[in-house]
Amino acid sequence: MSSNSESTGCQLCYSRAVHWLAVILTISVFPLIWVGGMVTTYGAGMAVPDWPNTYGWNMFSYPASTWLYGGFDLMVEHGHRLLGSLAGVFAIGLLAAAILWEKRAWFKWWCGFVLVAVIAQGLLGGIRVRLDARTFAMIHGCTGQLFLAIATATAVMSSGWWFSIDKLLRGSILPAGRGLARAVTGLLVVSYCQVIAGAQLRHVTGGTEPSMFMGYVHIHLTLAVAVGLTSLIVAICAAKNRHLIGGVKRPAIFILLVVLIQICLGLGTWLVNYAIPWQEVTPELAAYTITSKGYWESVIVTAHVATGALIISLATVLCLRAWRSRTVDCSTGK
Amino acid sequence: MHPRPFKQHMLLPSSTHNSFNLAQQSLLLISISVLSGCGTAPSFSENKVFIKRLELEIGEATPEQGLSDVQHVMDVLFGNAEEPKLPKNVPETVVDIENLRRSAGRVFSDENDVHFGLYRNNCIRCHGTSGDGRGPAARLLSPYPRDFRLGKYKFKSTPQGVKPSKSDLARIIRQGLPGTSMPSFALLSNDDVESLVDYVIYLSVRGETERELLRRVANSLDYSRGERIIDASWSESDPARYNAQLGELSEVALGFFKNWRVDTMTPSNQPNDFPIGQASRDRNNDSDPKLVESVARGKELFRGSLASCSKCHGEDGTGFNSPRDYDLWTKDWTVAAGIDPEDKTAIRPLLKAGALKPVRLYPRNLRHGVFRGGSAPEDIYARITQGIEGTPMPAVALKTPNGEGLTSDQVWDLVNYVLSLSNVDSISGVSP
Repeated sequence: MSSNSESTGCQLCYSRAVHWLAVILTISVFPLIWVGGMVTTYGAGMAVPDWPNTYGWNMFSYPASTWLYGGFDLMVEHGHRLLGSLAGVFAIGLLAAAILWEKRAWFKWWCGFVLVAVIAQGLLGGIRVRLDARTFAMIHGCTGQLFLAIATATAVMSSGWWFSIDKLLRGSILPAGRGLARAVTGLLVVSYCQVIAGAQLRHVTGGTEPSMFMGYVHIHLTLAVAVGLTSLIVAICAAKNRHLIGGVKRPAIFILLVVLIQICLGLGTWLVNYAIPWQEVTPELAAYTITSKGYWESVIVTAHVATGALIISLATVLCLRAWRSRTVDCSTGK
Repeated sequence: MHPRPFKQHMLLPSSTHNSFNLAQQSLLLISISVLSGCGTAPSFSENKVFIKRLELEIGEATPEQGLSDVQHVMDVLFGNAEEPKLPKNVPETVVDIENLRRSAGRVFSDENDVHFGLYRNNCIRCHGTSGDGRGPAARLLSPYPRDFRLGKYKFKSTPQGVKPSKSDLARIIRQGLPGTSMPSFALLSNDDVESLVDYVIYLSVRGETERELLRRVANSLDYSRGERIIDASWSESDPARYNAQLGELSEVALGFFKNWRVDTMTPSNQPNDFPIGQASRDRNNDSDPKLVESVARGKELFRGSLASCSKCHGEDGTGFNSPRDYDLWTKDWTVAAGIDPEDKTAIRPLLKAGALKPVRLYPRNLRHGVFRGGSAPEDIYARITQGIEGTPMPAVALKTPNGEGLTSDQVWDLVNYVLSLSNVDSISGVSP
């Protein structure tokens, strides 16, 4: 699918409309994940017990005065559904734009897949509500992040960078090495595994055995180390290579910064949920009292979820760009 | 556009209006639950640690039939985690069944922002479905979450051996416990907190009743000779006998519920002419000579044999060199069963049954000025005079006309000294 011919023989394939719709779709998914994270933080998944309707109303005609000024749980859950619908509208627009202006047949199919994915994600959310099953909430949370990766991939594969890679690699500018490309692929896979482990901790029920929870905590910590080390290796490799193409180098360094922030947010998440087990060390820690579902919990825990999504998105950008840069023959620039 | 009438039955877990039929739903749910391994619905579990303790005490296992009979009684009297029940004649002032229904079961809220499933949403991760203090996260917390089933609570306004008042429990829920994983639920409505208080009492009484019935099965009934605490089949074959037996067992539960009819104790008011120090430095009376004298007297009492506080808290109030000890919730399955909590081999079967690894209890580091039962002088007075239930912190004896003990003024001297330990710079003339 992605080949030299795509970059050389398909210079005119780039469609601004398709690309911007893909970018808008990706951007729209990020707040959707934030609000979805808040739904879980507040346990608001069943604040609206019917689906696709809202308390008997068509979702889109549900009175704004009720959902905006009613209960907070209702606001975040209904808001999450409306944002999800908005993402669906952008996915429809993307497919329409691809049918009209996209030259690559496979990419048209890909845009169709994006629409199917967003519908499937909505259905999963609906099943979670109709069955009132926390397991589906967990799956819905994981697939939400997967959808962000799909939307990001769409934006990357429709970008001007994707089509002009052979021009960008002229002169002393080099593509990503095989090792770097493999490392970023590993980073993407490990990051997504980390999201799944985190979702297990987020959606734990009273029926979960303490030993199982402990196991998830250990897996989550181990994977955090793996993500941290992999992103460090990626960033060092990228920074050391002075000739590496900027489209790979910049996100490779940026992702390390985001991973460091994410590690801090992870520690913060434990702190605002369970406190630390050695609080008697200082008077300040001894006096620390958690506020359940307070401002800091909602911000830090939800930011941890959203930053996890951002890492997946950045890793997707990196992975696709690294492998894409390797499809061009540097000796000929093709 | 007119809204389609919303059906109340949509609030029920399984709606007949789902787009899937029941069989498809079940199949899908089971497959995904099995695949993900986390779909276990929370349900009350039997007190396996206590069963193991009884086995070790008596030297033989409690008969399976007996365990099953006890669970039958528990189900009939208390319902389950989805639909709680109460035995007949439980006073509404102790536990309101409507409050239990709001706290139990699945998590949802309605259009009027009334929340349900409060316990599952807020408490279950640490305290567990049965209130056994063994929720999924419990093992990683320090101190461990409270096991409600012993019916004992540390921080309360009532004397040792008396249940806490409802306002004591509500205070802990609203304010949380500093330095622990117990958060403040200050953002919950008063109705929500009241519902949770009732549910905690319900779980406590359920746990106490279960222990009592298990004890009867293990100690008083000979199952090998056909004696039974109850037989579920009697409800068909001999309803009169079944109802009489159930009534008797229901009285056991009712007795535990009645223990909870406790009014809040009147707080010990500070004497008018007595200088009281303050952990916070907003009183500006720290240089008051009377306070300095009171602190000095308190220091003597703290280190002396009458109050003997320094035995555990140390002369410097840090408690670093305290004797090794454990709380009641650990001693209940170790020391009470003749097992040393340090004996790793002896405790292994109980750990296997679900007990959490014994963790040594340290006295409060008084130099931090943080007191889990409240840092106000009145709270510290209450801690000294009433102790902390379930811990080695005793209640000091107050002086009777003919006996030994501390006078009320001496207790206030101790309060002043304890408060001064975290405020040493501001009280001149007294070194800690």
